[in-house]
Amino acid sequence: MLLHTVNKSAFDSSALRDCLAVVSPNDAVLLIENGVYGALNNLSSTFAPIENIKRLSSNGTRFYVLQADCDARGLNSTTLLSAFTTTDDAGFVALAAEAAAIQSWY
Amino acid sequence: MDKPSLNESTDKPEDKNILLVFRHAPYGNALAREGLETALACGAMGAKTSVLYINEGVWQLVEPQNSSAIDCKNQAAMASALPLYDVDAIWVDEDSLKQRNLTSADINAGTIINHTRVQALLTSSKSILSF
Repeated sequence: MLLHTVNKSAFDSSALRDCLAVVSPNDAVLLIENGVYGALNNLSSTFAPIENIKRLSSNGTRFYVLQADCDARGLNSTTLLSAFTTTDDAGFVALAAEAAAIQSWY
Repeated sequence: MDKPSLNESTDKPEDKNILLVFRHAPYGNALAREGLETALACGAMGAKTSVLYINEGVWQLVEPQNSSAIDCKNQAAMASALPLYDVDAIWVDEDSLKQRNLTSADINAGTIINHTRVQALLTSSKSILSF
């Protein structure tokens, strides 16, 4: 299992899209820093990553978002896609320990 | 537009007309914080200061922000200090809000303006600082 971290907003960077293009069903994707905007469920319908995330999630890919980064930016959990589980620094470390390797998208 | 006169008055802060353009989301890098600090400094110096939130910059206005866990100063709280420093012209680009499915209810400050007025604002500015 690989852990993919994405730390750039999906609006001004291709990092999330590029990550989703190669992610595997048993991988985990963790959105951190400005990457957390990619977890919003109410983005305009033309925002392609939403459909990709839903499809990957139903195939087994796990999606996480760092709670502290959501709190800082005023995003509450009701506005996040249901595919996402919130986690904290301890959860981040646990995912990193579980992963065979970590791919950072930035 | 008048030619700048050669007398010393053009160097006084109160004769400056400065537009600060905020184009980046808060916290991921230092741009949002540095931009706000510059706006507060311009205002404190008496310069006529306007602020435009556009593109990713509109995220800076989303409330409620709680940044204590990431050890950063609260950007929305800092932005709310702008009027205290005589920065009253706070503009927000309508298209940027729409693209992010944000409405006036999601943001804590500023007047929403359309594309045409954004263009006019940029065109009429003599000094632009971009963050």
